[in-house]
Amino acid sequence: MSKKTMGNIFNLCIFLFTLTLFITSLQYPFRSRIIPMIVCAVVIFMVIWQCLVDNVKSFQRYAKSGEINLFADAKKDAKEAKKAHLAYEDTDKAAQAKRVRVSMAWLAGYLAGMTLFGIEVASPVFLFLFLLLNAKVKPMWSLISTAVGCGLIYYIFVMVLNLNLYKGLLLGPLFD
Amino acid sequence: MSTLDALIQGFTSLLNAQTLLLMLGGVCIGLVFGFLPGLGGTITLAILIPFTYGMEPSLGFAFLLGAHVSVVFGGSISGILFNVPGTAQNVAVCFEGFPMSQKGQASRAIACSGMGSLMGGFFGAIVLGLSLPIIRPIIMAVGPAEYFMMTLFGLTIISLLTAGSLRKGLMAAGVGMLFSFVGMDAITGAARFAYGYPLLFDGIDFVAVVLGLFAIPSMIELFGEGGSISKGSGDGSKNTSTMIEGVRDVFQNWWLVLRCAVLGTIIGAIPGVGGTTANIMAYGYARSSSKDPDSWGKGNPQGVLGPEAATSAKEGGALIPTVAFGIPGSEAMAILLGSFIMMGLTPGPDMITNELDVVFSLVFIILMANVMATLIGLACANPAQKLTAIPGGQMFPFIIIICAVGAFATHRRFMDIIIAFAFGFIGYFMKKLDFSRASFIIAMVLGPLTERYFHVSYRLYGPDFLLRRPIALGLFVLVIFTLVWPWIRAKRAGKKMEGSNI
Repeated sequence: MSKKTMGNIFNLCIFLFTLTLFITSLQYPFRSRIIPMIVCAVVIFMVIWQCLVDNVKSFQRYAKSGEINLFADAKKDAKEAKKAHLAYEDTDKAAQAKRVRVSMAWLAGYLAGMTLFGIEVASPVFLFLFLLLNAKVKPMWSLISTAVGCGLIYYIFVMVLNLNLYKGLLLGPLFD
Repeated sequence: MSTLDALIQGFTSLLNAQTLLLMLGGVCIGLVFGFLPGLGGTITLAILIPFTYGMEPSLGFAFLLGAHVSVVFGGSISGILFNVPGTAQNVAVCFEGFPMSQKGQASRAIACSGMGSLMGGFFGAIVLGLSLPIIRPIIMAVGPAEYFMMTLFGLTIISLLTAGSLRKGLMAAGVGMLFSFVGMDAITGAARFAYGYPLLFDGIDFVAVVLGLFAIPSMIELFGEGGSISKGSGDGSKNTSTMIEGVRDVFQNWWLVLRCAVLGTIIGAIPGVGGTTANIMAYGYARSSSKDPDSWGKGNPQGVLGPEAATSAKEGGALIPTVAFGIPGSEAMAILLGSFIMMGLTPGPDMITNELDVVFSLVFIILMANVMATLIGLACANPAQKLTAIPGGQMFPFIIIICAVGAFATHRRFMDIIIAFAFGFIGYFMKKLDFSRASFIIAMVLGPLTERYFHVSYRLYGPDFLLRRPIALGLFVLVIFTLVWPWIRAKRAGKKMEGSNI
């Protein structure tokens, strides 16, 4: 995915998020809604402006002239977008992008694990598997690192600070 | 008791092995608690208070203040090494400290942080000691209108941090501000943007957002790129020289350190504004006054030592309203106020009159604790630098787990972990697409304060509150000047503002 497309999706997300908050603000008392509504309006204005600069050529030309300072970076953005697009075609960059996707998948998996089985179960499993499969650490060292790392975190947060860690949706009821 | 007698008595009360050992213990605990994300100064004080039951005031304060003062420096170390700010007050240190680690200058950055913190702490403590007898009329002259203008001044920093694109910076700041509005409105009591979800009534946890926005994206990026944080340059071969360079940086930039310390002390003395604001505002100030704007965002030592001086100086400033009026400037100061009462002291004018020796002992505790924290930090700088040479693949799961537990630890809510991870993904894309995460954080900190002080000023002085309050009007002129100055300077220099988005 090119940087430009990614930028457009991100801008769309910001637009929808801000619009939702703007509409929600309408139901609050005047003093509670006035500042959020002003902020929402500014953000929506900026998003639309950004989308126009990113996608409409005449706006890019207008921006290049530097008549309005807010457009001053359009040239740089366009250059970067092109550079980034070319860079993405590079094999090394593609491999990096793949590793980024893999790390995000691991994060999502770890979050799902914590949601279902709790922090105390998901963390050692995540640590051991990640070290073993991604960091290519030998099984014995992965196990030792997991035991030491998680043991230390458990000792500080649970035993010293008496923190009751989240037990998860599946295992939580067993501890209640 | 004369002031000089109180000063001498305050100092001599600390000169015994028991007090010094307790202070050292407090400093070590503070450094460890600061290093671990999610355990800020407030939690540290809350945990340590039970241990001070029955202690003499000088012993108890040596332990508590020792820990409280060193928490911030501990948080800076993890921010510098892993881009994981230990406390919310260490956000700005990551902007330049982590890039320094990536260049293999972690020990230099830690030395900058430690010495900057020491100098700032000294300044804050001296101001505390000197100002107590004369501070009352100054504090009373500053009201909500002035606070509103100060927060607005803080928001102008956004224009300084968004060197790449002001539009994107404003978008990030706007969204950050909107996130800060989630929860109960302090003015009307309305639950804003909670959508009936009770956990959102308390708002979105700032620590979780900071961990997500900074730590998780840097780990994703590190794993994606492969290698280590220092890319092989942090092998420790030049550690001693770089550490000395860090100490030298602080002395070479003494004027910047002093100005940031003044800023931190002033912000600390304002109740409710907090160390995060001091840290970020000092960063913005240091960046705006730099003669080398191109080097910012890429590991400029000034971006470490300035904010550190401000955050450390803030402690002295925050003690001024706490001791002089019994008004705690922050959550941590509120806990400290509780410990004053627990030890039989009544903060306020009476304390300054009758317990002046205890007040001066607080000043000396801040001074000594800062020295201890800095010495320990400098001793650990070289071994700590070696951590940046650990391969990213091995570092990734450890940091992610610490972030998850750290996000959970603050409020003990699983939702905060989800928030941290969500902001981790958002932060990654913000970084990729050149949206300023610093602007997001600044707006999130200052947004609610700006809104609250605006409404209170409007209510107290009417719509023309600026014209009725000369100090506020003066600050408004300063805000306008700060907004316009970078462009005037850029026009004069005949080039666009440079530097990297953070």
